[in-house]
Amino acid sequence: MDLPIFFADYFGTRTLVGVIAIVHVWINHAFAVGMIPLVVGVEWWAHRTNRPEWDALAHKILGVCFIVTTSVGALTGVGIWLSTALVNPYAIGSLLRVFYWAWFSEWVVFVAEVSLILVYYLTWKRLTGQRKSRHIRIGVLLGLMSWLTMAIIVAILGFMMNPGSWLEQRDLLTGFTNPIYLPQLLFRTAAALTMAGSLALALSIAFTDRESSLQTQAIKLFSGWSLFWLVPTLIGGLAYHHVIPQAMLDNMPVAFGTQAWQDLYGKLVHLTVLAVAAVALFALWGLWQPLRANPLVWIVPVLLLTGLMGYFERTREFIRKPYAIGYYMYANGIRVDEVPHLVKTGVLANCSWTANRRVTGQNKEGAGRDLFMVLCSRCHTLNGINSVKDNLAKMYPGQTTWSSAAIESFLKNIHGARSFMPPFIGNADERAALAAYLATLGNRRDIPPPVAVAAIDE
Amino acid sequence: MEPVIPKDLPLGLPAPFWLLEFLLLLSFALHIFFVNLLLGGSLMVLVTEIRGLRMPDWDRVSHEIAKTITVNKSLAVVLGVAPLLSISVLYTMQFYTANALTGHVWILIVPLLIAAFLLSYAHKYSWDRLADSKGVHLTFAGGATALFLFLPFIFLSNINLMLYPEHWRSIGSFWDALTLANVFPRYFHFLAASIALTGLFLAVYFGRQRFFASLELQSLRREQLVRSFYGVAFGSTLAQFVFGPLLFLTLPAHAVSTTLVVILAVAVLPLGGLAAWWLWREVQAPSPGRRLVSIVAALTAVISFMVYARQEVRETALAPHRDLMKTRTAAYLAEVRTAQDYLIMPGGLGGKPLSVGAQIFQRRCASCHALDTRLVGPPLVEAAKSYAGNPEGIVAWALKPGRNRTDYPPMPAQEMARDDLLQVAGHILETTGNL
Repeated sequence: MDLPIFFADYFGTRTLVGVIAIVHVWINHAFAVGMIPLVVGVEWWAHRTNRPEWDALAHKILGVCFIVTTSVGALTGVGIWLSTALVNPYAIGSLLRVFYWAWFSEWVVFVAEVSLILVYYLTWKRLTGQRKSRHIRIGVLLGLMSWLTMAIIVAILGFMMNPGSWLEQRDLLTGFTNPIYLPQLLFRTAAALTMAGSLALALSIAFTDRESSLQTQAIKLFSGWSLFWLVPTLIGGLAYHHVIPQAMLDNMPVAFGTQAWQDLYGKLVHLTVLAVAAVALFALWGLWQPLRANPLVWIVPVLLLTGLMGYFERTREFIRKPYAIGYYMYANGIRVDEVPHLVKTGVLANCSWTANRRVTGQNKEGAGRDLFMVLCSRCHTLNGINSVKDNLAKMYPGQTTWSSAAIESFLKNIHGARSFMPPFIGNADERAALAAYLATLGNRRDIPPPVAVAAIDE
Repeated sequence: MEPVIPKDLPLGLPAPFWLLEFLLLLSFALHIFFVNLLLGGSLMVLVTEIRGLRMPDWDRVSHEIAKTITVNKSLAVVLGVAPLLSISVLYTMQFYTANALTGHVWILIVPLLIAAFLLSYAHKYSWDRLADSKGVHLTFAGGATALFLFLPFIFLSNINLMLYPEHWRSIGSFWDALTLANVFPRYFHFLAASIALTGLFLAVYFGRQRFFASLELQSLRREQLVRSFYGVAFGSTLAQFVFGPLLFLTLPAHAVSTTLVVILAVAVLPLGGLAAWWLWREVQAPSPGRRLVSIVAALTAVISFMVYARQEVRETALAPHRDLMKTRTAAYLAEVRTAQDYLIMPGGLGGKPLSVGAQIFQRRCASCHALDTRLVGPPLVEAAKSYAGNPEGIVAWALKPGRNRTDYPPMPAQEMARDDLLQVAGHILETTGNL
């Protein structure tokens, strides 16, 4: 209410965070957490059995990971901070106040991880011969650090999904003891190792000569690797799926499933099983008939696993709704304890960046647009992805003039009808103003207000 | 314009203010050190590679500088996270306000830095392959350098804008934020610091005898090269005596304190002058490097004082704002507490008590169904007609709705206890006169 409202009318603020976060998670899992153990393993094996061509292949694969993780990976990681601070500054600001030291420790591990990958990659050709085992030890340490950063972050994520713990103790330990923690960590670790296998396979196709014995062996080795890690991926995914409902029930005071949630949750198990089965088939094919495929085919398992990962993140995010922080803050950044005051005095009267500070006879639609920006724009756009316009059109099919009274009744019980949406917060005049504004969208296109604006009635 | 006084988050700081401040300054100093080397290095790579078009020795030098960027840029990013976290905690509302006002450009930091990093990787790893097409190769370096030169504006405009709550309302974008008086002086001050630091760093880097010998240059001598890097450091340090005062003069009065003036006059100016003098002596020395320790010590002191001066400016500008915020937050939280008893019960205040069925209906059904008007779903008077005297029929429908009318969206299944649904059905039939 007191911060200017960042808004992206086509893309949506939610999509912005989602895209940055999913790219980051994908790179973190496939190129770092899963790949480092694979590369170190190959390096160790090549050293022990004296296979320089394998050492060279591992170095090339690592080179790709090095470039990707230190550019796209690192910057999307920072991007999560930048984008969440734009999109829901109240939530990320609050989490930071409580978890500063957790994130600070994670940062220390992160500094170690980046320093180690620099050392590990840049000394590959220097630490050879007798000093090779020292190089391998650096790699092992790097793998541990990569995994550790993920293990800490998963605890913070677990905390955010564990409703009540924020209000009760605000203690990171609850993130680790959360029932979701271990299944999630197992799923992520195993999925990362599987993804790394399929990625290493696709990369080694590019780095080895067609139908060379090295290529054949690489396809077999990495198929075997993926196949091996698929088993714990499946177990972790199903265990995670199994523990979700408990968290869900805790998170939803009105415990009845919505269609959107049912679809999302129901599909998770099918998608996991399907993706795992498909990847397993590819891996078996790789083991038996390593050369009977077009090289491009090996990109398919990489894409399948990436899709599964994205879907997993989407489901995980959905669990939190209608809250950004369980029982404490709604997705639009308004704290639960503020609601009675805002209902009494109105939301607009407490805002610093809206053109209208109260609803009058003349400004109903303008005030309604301000309210849309304050209350709805964290999840909905006006005209783009997940737009309020499309959603209303679905509720009133075939009608172009929408009834403001009908929308108002919907707003009155919006949380009852869609439990993942927060209740309407504001006074009765504001509810009518928002409804009046939304009703005008039936037959016109509106644009968002400018970000910096002085109040009209001040 | 009136300053915006936001209400703060009602959560305490995770540590004493001074400790967070200390961590912010320490991690920022480390971060900016590598940022300086990254930006300065990127410029040096470009300049030396262009020189190398005529004299191959410089091309070799350029390639070596490019290799240092790989390490410096990764450390710059990773070390930037801690100051980002610390400033977000210490100055949450001011920093986030500046972020939101410049938001669309602020978020471009991510793709632009990715592009700059990938370009500098492409540049470094294609050195030999593109040896015969220097135009393309230089385009990579030029692109990366241009991005590295532009990006500080985004950071600077934010870190500057957050200091001036009275300007916030008139700043609607990143471009507006650039127009505040001291953005450009700050930028050039930073740029000159980057070049000076990089010059010194490279003088040390190429001054190492064994390393230099391994380069096997044809005509460029070590002393000559080291002297020219000292020259770069000297020239840009000298330029600070223009940019520094310019920055000081463009600071708004409410950001200047006596402490700041004392730090600048007593510590920064004399130490900076001393460093510049020693740098000049190195440029002239036949075998440079003897005064290195003194120069590093003087410049480290200058940088430490400057980092502190920066925080002094920030605190002088924002401490009164923080006090206003504190007062406003306390008043607001008191209002929030008094309003806690204003919770609205279902059915409104003071009316006759609602039946259980009516209460559940209000909570679960009323957003889509009204008595005699169409909302999302059909009006009850219409829907209830076919269920006269048959509440079980409504229950069955609600548990597993079919679809009778295509001009309405489908109704979702209501996962409620059968008894509750029966109460609701009773309420519907009663209000529509179909009991």
